[in-house]
Amino acid sequence: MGRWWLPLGLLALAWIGSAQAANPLSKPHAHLDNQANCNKCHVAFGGVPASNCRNCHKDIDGTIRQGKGLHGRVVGNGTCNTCHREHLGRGHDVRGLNPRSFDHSQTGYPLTGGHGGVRCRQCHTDKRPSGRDSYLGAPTDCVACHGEYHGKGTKADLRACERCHNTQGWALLNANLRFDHERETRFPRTGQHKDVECKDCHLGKKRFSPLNISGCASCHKDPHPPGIFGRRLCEECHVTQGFKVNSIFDHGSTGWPLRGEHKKKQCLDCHAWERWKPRTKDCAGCHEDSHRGQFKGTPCARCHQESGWKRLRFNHDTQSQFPLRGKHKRVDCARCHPGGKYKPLDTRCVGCHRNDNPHQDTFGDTPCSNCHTPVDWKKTRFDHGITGFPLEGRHSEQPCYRCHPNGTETQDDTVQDCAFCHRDPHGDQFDKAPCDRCHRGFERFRIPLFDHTLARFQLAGRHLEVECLGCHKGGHYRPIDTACGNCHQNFHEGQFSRACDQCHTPELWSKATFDHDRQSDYALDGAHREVTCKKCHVRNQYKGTPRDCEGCHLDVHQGSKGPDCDRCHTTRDWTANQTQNHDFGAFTLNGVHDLIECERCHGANREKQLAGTGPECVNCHRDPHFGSLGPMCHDCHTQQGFLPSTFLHIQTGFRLSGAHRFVACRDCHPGRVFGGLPSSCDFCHQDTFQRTAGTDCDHTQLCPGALDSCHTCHDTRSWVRARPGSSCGSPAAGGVCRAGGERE
Amino acid sequence: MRRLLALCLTLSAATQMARAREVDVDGRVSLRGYYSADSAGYTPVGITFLETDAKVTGLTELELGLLLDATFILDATEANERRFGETEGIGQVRQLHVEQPRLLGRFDLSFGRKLLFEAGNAWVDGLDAEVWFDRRRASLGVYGGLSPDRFDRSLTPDYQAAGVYGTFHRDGLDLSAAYNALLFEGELDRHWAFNRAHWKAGDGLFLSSYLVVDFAERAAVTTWLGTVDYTPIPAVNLALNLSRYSIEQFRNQAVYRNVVEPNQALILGDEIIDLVYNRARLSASLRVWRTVYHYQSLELKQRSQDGRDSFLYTVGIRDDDLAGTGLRVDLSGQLVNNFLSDSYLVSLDLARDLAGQLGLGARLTWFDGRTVGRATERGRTFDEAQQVVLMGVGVNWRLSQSHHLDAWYDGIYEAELQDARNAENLFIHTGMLRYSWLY
Repeated sequence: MGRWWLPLGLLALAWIGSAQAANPLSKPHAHLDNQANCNKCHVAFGGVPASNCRNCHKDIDGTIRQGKGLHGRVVGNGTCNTCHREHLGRGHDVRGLNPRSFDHSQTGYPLTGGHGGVRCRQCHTDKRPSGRDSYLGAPTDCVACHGEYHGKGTKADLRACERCHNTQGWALLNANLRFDHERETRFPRTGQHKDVECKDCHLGKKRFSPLNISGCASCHKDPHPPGIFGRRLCEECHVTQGFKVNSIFDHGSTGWPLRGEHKKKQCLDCHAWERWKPRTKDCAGCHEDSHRGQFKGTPCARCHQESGWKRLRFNHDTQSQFPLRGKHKRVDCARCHPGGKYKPLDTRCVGCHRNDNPHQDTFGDTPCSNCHTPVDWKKTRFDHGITGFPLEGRHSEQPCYRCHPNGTETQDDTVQDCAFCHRDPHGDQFDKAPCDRCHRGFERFRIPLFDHTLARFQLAGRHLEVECLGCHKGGHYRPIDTACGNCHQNFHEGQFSRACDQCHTPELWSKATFDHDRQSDYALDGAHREVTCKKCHVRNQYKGTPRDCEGCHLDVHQGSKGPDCDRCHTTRDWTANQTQNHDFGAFTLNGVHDLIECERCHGANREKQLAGTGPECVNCHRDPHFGSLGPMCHDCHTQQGFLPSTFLHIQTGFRLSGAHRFVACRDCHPGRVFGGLPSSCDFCHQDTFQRTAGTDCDHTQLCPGALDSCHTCHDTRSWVRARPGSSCGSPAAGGVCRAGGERE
Repeated sequence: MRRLLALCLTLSAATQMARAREVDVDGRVSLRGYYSADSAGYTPVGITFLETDAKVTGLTELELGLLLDATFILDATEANERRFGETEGIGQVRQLHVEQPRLLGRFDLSFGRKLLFEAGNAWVDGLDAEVWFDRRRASLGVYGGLSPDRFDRSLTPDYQAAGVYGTFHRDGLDLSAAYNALLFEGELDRHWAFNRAHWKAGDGLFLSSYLVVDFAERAAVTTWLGTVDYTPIPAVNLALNLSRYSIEQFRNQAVYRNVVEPNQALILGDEIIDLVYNRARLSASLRVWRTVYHYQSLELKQRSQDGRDSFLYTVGIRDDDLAGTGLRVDLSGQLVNNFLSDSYLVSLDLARDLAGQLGLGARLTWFDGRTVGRATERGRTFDEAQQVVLMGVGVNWRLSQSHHLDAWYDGIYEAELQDARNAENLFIHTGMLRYSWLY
């Protein structure tokens, strides 16, 4: 333990020595720069505690305690000499503040917008007691620096600048500015005031509160000549919605209430700007007399009304001497009162209709009303019977001018025959016979009374409905050709030499009486009888019409059933398949049978009614085997074709192989006996076997009695070529057969 | 070639006349050619069929008619391939005759080569006269003339034919009966009676019979075919078919007498001579749903030769419009015991119309068969088994209703299963081209 005291002592001496050699304190602490004051800051072996600093710097201690400002937010309970270094010489700035790099947001008041360019001392204007600049405790409200620019306000606090302004620029108001002029001021904005900008009323920068708003004149200039409304206030007539609109002035208070069209007028339409009060209160005060004094003394309101000048309440029937009747009611006033002339007027018809008189002087002074009425000028009440020519039938329906074309009487009223008015279309065809011989003139001229049975051509059927001119073209009645072709186009274009009436009747042209069964070589039956002619005889072609079904009907089988559609179909019912019995079952038709006519098996015209032929082949086909194979042909043959045969010979127990494939049947089946023949070689080859006698390969010697074992040496591919290496013990062949017998 | 030229001239003249008089012509001309080659290197088969079928009526004011029914075969390779049978002659005219119907109101006359269905397929080159009674409900006919050669169908004076027949039909009943005589060089060779009956016994019920009785040495039924066809409702068809035929009588007649081949031993035994087949077949068809059909048939056979029985069972389903796609599908299967063989067969046929008038078809058949019952009276040499696969595809182009063009390819693969010594597996390719004119 005693050995450690020496180094510790040396260290203490070194520290003491160094303290003695420290630099002077900064200028603000210069008064402490002596050894007697060391303990005011330093504590032995405890450094420089912050409490020693805060003992002297009470203001700083206060902000730290309140947590405000830079020291309150950043320093907290830290040591002061971390930032404020000392003993660095008298000229050292103990504040350690660099204004260029200082982050002002650490103080809780970040410098934004325009504040970023403001010099420190523009806001921090205080000085410490020592006379140095102080940066502590600068106010953060706007008015502290910018003053009460708008005053204090009455209802609203005009010192809360941030409601309207921001640091980006004084003139740039907040985008979310919500100043409620109605609640926060004594002057609610209505009408067009809502669209007025602040500066238009608050003239000057500081004139926000309080404004003198004793009346409209505070802002608006009175446009009226001075004194014409006396002491009336503006708002008695005007509203904020518009100076010129919706006047609230009660015009009735003037003794002249506005009604009708007058309500729609603007004030200046009636009032002069310089002289507001009109001269008189009657119509003439404003309106000009368009009647030029014709009704002098009569108040305008007797005819006109305020709801519309032209909406007259004049009753022509009771207030004039000329009641309006008939078409006169629909005539415009100006048609009878041209140029606004209302009196005096001539009330006779000619007063207005002088130029409309078509009669010229025919009727002298006879009043028009003797014949005409205001209801319809053309419908007269003239009794034509007094002329000796009473109008009857169609004549009574005709307007006068049809007979009196010039509006005059007939030249000779004794002439009353038809020809006076009607042109004779017949010329000399009827030798000037009176018209009423055929025509009942007064009823219907076009239907003649002529009895056509007296003519050479009797009318019947549709001819009775044809108008005369339908046949008598151009009014040509005699002589006339009575042949059909004279009136009707030859639709068949000369395909038939016979006369039309041999097929057609006047009853109905399209329903010909042509007997297709007898008069043509194609009898119609079944559904064909119901088909119209043109369905088969398209494009008016009657000659050369195809007789096969395909000529008219689409082959839905695409040829797979051949050309004889009537094998399956009938004219009675196309959809009925009459070969249904052949679709399946014991005699299903296919192959060649599917393409031949039914009559080939069932007789001509199917006289046997489909019951005459059994399902077996021999009923129709000749048996080339002459019965030797029995009647069951389909065992070997198909309906697709008689040959090739499908018979598999191995089914007999004897397979045809090799050369046997090419041997004629009768070579093995003598007498056309096909059943039960033996399959041993000797049945066919015995003669060959015998004929080897005396040859180099004498089978009678080599293979005596071995006809049932030929295949031990031979196969069916070639009789003459024995199996290679097979031996039959022939001495001549050296024990090996070199060549066999010879087949025919 | 002369016959072909004559045929063409005849058809052309008939067509021209038809145009001039607008007579009725019905029939077809079909020209089809086959070419077939196999993997074994045998001679390829080239064969052409010209099938003509024309029935012309109304050639004259008296309604003269003409009927032609012939197949002209040109076998270029003369290969006698088994599927095409014997191709003996170039001209196989079955029928060629003129008809004069309703002469004097009731007589039908015909002259030429004619098959008389009413007389049980009697065949004559000569005259046939038929008189009608009772508003053409009954008739009586007689015919006579030469009979065509049985092998090459040529006109020959060696055989003569004559007969009489009658028909009657009324109210769904149709009957025909005949007596026929066939002479060889002036002597009676074969004479037989024929009867056919078809009767509509009720709604959907048909009964039919086809009977041939030969009189060689004694009267015997050589062919009988009876059918009951019943359709109780439109969707169901039932058929019972009974048949019996015997070749015994045929053996003693010139027309069936064998033309002796150099190699043939003619050692037929009695069991063949007495061969009689009896057969019964029951079939049922059912329309399941609109275009869907189901069919089955069971056939039982018995032969007198060895007393063996046989059966054939067929089952299938057909849809003419599969799921509304227009595809026609026919799937069938067969199970067969044919006396000396067992086999089964599965077959699928497809057909569909494409756009326009073009149709496609395809078929696939699988066959498997083998020999059974090797030990017969006559003895058997081979014990065989075979699988056959048939693959076919074709196109049908209907140029119009009357003109059709078909092309088919068939590939037949035959696999030898049992006795490879006889033949190796074989692949046969066959192409067919057919042009048909339907008029």
